[in-house]
Amino acid sequence: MMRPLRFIRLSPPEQAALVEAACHLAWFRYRLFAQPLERVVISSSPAPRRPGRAARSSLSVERLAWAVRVAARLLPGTRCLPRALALQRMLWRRGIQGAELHIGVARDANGAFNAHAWMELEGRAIMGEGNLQGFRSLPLNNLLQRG
Amino acid sequence: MTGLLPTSIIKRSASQVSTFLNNEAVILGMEKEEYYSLNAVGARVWSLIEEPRTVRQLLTELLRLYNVESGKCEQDLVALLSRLVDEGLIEIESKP
Repeated sequence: MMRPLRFIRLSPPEQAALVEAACHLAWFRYRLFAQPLERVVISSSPAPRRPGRAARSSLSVERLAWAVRVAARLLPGTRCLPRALALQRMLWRRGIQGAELHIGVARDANGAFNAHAWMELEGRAIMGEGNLQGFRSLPLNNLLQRG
Repeated sequence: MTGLLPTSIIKRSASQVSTFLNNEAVILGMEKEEYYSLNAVGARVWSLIEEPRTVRQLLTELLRLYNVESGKCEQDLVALLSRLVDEGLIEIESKP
């Protein structure tokens, strides 16, 4: 939990990003609760939304991911899928295209099943990167093409 | 399972995504928002229906691959397909 004094010492863009991230997280948590999963996943399709809009962000992709992670601590129980979607939305609002949602599955060493969601940009995990070893992505494109 | 004929066409539902982990088929079914796991013969059937197949084609292929009695094979296949339909993972087209 970020103490108020530490918040005040952040730069204004960072403060704004934290507030924005919290809003997106709350929104996606609501959507995932209230709407079909398929619809939420289809809306994450990386097709360009605002063609011709130049990318402009005073914060790096890494800093935006940081904002989502910190904001997620303010909303206990926020799991990997809303985090990934919140970051993607923040990137889109800044004209940064190309972030792709991944949902993957794996069996761990004990045979237990795990599922995880993360966001990739240019082939690199930028949210939910934790330990992706052994995770096989599901072909979400099969759904996205219908969106 | 009523209405299932040898000529019925079995097809993966459009509301699912799947992959294989070793020899296990893992399916994320969007209708019930659940993960499913199919092992061995189930995974084989899932693999076979990557393209739509008739029940007859599936039975023929399973009898070719596995040393199993025809009646038992059919029974098990119908049970599997019945379960997959209930979970919204496959669609069945029975031509009139």
